[in-house]
Amino acid sequence: MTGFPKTFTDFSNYKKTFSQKREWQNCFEKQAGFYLDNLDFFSKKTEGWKYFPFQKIMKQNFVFNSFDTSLHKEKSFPNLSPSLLISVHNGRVLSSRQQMEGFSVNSWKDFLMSKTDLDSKTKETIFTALTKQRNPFCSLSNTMAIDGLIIVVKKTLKQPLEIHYTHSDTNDQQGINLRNFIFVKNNTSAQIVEIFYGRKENKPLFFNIQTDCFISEKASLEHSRVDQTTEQDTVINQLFTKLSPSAKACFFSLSLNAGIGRWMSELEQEEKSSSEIRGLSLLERNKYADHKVAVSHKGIEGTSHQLYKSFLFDSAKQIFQGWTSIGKQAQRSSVSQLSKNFLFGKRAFAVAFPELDITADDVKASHGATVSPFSENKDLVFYLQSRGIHSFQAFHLILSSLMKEVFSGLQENTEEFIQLLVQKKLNSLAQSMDKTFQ
Amino acid sequence: MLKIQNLKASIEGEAILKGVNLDIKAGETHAIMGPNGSGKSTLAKVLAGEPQYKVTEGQIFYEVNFKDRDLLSMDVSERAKEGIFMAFQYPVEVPGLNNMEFLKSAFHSVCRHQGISAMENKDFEKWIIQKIRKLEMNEEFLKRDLNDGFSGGEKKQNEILQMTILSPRLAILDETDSGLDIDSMQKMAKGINQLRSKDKSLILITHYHRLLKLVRPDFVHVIVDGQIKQSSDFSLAKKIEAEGYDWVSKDIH
Repeated sequence: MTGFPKTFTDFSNYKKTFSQKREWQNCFEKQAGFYLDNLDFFSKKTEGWKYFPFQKIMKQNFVFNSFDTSLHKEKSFPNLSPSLLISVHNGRVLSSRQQMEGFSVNSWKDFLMSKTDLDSKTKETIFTALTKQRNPFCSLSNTMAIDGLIIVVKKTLKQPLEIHYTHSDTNDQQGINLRNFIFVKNNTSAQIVEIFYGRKENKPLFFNIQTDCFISEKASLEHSRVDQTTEQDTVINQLFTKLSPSAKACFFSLSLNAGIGRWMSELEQEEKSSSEIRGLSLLERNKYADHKVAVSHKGIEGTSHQLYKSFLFDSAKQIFQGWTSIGKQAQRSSVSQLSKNFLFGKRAFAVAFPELDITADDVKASHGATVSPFSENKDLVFYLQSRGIHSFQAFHLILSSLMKEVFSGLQENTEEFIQLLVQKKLNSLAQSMDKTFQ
Repeated sequence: MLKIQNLKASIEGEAILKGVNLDIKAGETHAIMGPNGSGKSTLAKVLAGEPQYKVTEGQIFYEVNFKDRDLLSMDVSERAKEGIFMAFQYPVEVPGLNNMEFLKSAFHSVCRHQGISAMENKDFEKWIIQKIRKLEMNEEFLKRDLNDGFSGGEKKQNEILQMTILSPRLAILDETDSGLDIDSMQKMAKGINQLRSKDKSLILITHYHRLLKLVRPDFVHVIVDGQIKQSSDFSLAKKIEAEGYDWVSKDIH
């Protein structure tokens, strides 16, 4: 496979480890390139190929060395203390807290056997997830990841867990391939913020981070993903979540900088569980964000609400694929999907697919999407200007007001942190905003 | 304070104002009346700087620090910062933008421009509550988002509140009385009258004599087909109320 990461073809390690799972290994081994190019993402076979620059990744030879976590020195969560940095290198935990462990997938079996503080059910869950065939990016992580995290929340966390991902290696093409697991045990709650950084040298990074998340009965999790990468970078971040009965979750994805970003959330919800899934893209130039959400309601009286907004400047592109399924057994579920996209650049582009698949007959469901040029809001800008507010500040206030509902549901400290990043980004877009009405 | 000379303006190529002349001195209140589509609101929007309206001819001079400035060369926010305020006929709704925050931004922006140091947040909040009470408005207004879900009357009240806070030198009220019940109109008139002073001028654009009974203008003008055809004192408003606009056009012909 020309142009495909060299290490993709080095399967010696995983063959040893996963010898009993030949079927899916072969599938991945033989068809990885085909999978990545043709499945899941938009491909040349659909009109979407025009909008997804996947070829860019394919042409680059990323090397997935072990995750060198010389972590970002800046304290990016100033309002949360103490800042927690989790650092895992070749299975060795450099910095951790009681609830967390780093592990090496290469030796996961030994690792799990050795972990006396992990109960057998947790070990079994990890085992099952590691051998589950979901999509090519997940398979890539399952087979190739040599680092990862296991976070087990046994008691309610009073402070958010802050996870920073970056790479200090100065080689041209670097990849970070991680396999993560989050367990939030019964009746506990946690806030987790994952922050993705680009390299200071602006050399491309390829993040492929797959996370399985298990939220037990009556537990709750607020999980945010924050893109602080660079235009050179590609981020593939997929979150597979299982919500037990009466569990609650709030997921937020902030797409700001990555050249290509996929922020996927796949949820399976048991009875009376509830989820809020939010996303915000604020992109310029040729940046591309793909927000994919799939929620499957398996039990009665569950709720799930998806809300995604994008603000696209220049030639930026965003795709929202939302899918909610309500099975026959999930009566009295209440779901919604909404994607609102505002185009600032004449070549900016947004596509939204809010899809519902309902077989139960007693449900509340709504879905919708809008794509509109921001210039349609010129009356708002004029109104604010006519009160003495400068055009840029008027844009700023209007954009902030349009974004506001996306933040609802987040805890105050997370919202504050994300707002800071968003405001900073908005300031950097001043020129593009002024061009909007020219 | 304001001199409008042979002002011609159009929107999307259609001429609306066809040579408006008007001279407004400090402390004066002028009422502009006229049939639908005659150009009243266009005049207000051109003065405020609405970019959709193109001025094709004429000049507008606005006195700033004892000097006449070319109003048309000033952008929208600069006009506002120099004391021009237009109360909208249809104020826009901005969900997500808190009314208090909006007022604070506008007030501070005007203060900064005029070299006045900004108030501390707490002081501003106290001050604004005094203002809102004086206008007999509900303090809940401040907690809500800008005009979001407001009734027509509430939106108009909010315009008057903004006008009171920004204390403009030239206020243009574009049919602010339309759709208001008697009580709301009286409340609104009270707010407008509170603003009147010897150094502030008002332009009241209205269809109805009833507002002018509460805010008595010094001059009344009738605009027909993009031009001011009649100018007089309050008696003109009474005549319009009694006889309508037909006679204005006939008089001209």
